[in-house]
Amino acid sequence: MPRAMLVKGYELERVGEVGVRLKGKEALCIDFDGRGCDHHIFTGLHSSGAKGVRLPQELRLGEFSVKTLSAYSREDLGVEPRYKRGESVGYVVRAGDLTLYHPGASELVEEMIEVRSYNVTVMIVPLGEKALTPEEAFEAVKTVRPAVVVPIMGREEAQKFKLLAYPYTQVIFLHPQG
Amino acid sequence: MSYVVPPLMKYNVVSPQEYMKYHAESVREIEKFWAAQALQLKWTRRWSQTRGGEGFHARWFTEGLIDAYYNVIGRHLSLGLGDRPAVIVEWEDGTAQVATFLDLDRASRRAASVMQELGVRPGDWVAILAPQSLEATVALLGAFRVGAAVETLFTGWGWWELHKRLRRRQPKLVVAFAEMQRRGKKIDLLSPLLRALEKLDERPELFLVGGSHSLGRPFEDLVSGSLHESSLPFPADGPLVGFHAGYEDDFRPITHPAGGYLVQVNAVSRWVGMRPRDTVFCTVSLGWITGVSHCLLGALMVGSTALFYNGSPDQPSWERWLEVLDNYAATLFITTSTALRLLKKNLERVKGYNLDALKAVIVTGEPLEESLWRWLYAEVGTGSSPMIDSVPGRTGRIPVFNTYIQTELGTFVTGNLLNLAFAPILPGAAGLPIWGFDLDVVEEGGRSLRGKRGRLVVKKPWPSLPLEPLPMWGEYYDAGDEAVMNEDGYLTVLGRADGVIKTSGFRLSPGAIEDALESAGRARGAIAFGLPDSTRFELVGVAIEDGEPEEVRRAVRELVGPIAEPSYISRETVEGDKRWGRRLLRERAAAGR
Repeated sequence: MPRAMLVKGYELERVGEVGVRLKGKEALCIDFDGRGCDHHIFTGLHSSGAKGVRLPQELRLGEFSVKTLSAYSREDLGVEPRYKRGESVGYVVRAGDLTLYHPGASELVEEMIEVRSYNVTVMIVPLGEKALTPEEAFEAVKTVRPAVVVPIMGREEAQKFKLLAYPYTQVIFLHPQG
Repeated sequence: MSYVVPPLMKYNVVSPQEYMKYHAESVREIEKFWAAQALQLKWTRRWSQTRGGEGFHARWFTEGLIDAYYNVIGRHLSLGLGDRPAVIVEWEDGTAQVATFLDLDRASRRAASVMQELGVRPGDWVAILAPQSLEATVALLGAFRVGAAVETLFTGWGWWELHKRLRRRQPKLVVAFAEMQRRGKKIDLLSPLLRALEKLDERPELFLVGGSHSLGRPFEDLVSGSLHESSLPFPADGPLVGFHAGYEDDFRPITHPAGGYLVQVNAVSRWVGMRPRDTVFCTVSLGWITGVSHCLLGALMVGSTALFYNGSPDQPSWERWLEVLDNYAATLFITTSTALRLLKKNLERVKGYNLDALKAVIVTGEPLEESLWRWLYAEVGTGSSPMIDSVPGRTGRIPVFNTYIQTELGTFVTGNLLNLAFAPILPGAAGLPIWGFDLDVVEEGGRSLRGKRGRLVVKKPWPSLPLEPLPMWGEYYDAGDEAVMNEDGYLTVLGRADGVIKTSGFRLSPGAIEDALESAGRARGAIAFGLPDSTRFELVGVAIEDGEPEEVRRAVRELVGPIAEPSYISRETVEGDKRWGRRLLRERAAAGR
């Protein structure tokens, strides 16, 4: 399994189960706090690190431009929401010609439609019990239309997702480091 | 042997008779057939004559002008598809590089500007010595933008073979990797290249990927130019890509014309299975015709993603290629019989991978024997999820087929066509002739043979007819192979009819090996010949009158390349003509004497 992906002059790695590191001249780390990070952002997928993030918000973190997006479940559909507003956020990270989208802990929500216009290069797709189902992730990919998708978390779900999504995008499994 | 219809194609199959009926029509009106295919491409100036000139001296699409760059890359950008991944390269250390069509466009436009500033003009040659890589792709596309032809050099050639190719093409510019990694070790590509360049009358501009040398500039300089504005068209009958093919006496240059080559590559790549959004994993080097025609240009023209693994297939284990197929959801797998034999030998069972995205395995380079086909079909051509008439993980279900290709022919000319008309697979055979290619197996006088060993010929010129004269068998093009065609038209290739050595899918010239040894003074009276081998089809054998075997091996490795290193050396005098000697030695080896 590839351990790192080089795209548009940036290196992307998975770190542990949920972490992602995007490295140019500086390194932006998503959902992990460790060595080799110049900047940190958290979605709340595995921790409460995202609590208190203001929405919507645009941040400049060194060479990275970061836009926060809502990640949540609809509460008006008559079923118990899986994710509550304010517990997780998604991010669109821009660096050079690269646009990375991480939806955080979210169901399919209308904010994803807006993301399509950002011309996403790489979409991180969290899969599994506390994240998207393969079918939801597939729908998200059809909506966002990223060039490349990197699944994280659920390994079995990732295989199912791959077989749904490959006609629409380039799926790449990255081997988590650390 | 009986025909096999893979479950995936069960509802989309035609009988061999029906297939051959349309094949007959395609070759009966061959000009009309290929003209219709040519219209799939964008022409800067439409041709005045589909085929001009006589027989195998013909030129296709005369007076036409075609923009190679537009038809490979530009067409996707104009459709707004520039953000799709075009090329992915996974390196042995696990790094995956991804370039979109737009990324390739920007880099090759910059390269084209620098090439133009350095005086590369339409009709000039650019040589590339590189493994499957983004840098090689950018260099090739940059050359296409300025109207220059490209020869991709196999990274396994020794300095003398590199020198001969560079001397013949006289490239204005060379792009080369200084080294490449295999099994964690550095393979030096720079030293043989510098030695090959030393002896040229005129030194080309040299750009080096990795490493540094006073004679070469870093590759970064090549892609730091301004954005080249508009790509230049090629005359349809002018050179676009070149290779060297092994003949008895030496390797000979083979140059494909822009118009016919692009028409063929585009059409055949689609027919054998490529579609937009496919991910085509190909293990064939860019130094060989399949690597350039189908794995790179064909995939890009169709809008597929070309996926390459740049490393040794056994690193860290023989499962590496299967991991690549799984990790990138590859939909087509193109590889060689020798590679598959090694895979089978080292990995009897394929377990633990999900290859359900795969829709075909295309095998090239040499015959695919029935036992190997059966293993490949059951182990790689199977799947994990249910499909009618198959047992997941245990029986085959997708097309696994062999093809016939030659440097001179430009593209696959036989196979089973997923995207045109799929006829059943005959295990052990190379499939049926692809529409538009008039292949036959004939006896001495040119009469067709069915079910009997004969000479493989092409009876009518194909669009990518090389610009050099070709060997003839009477009135037909002589492919140099012996083959059997059954009553339905399926072709089984048996091996070379001449002394050319076929090893690991490579066509080696015995004359080139002999000359290298004689000119280096390492052996006298050398005769190189093919030894039958169950893994590599043939190995190189050399008979010498005198000389030290170790010196002979070293000389061949340095001058011709590691691929030609003899596995067997005998000391003996073979009287008479060398052609006769090669056959005698090969027959003796085949008989185990």
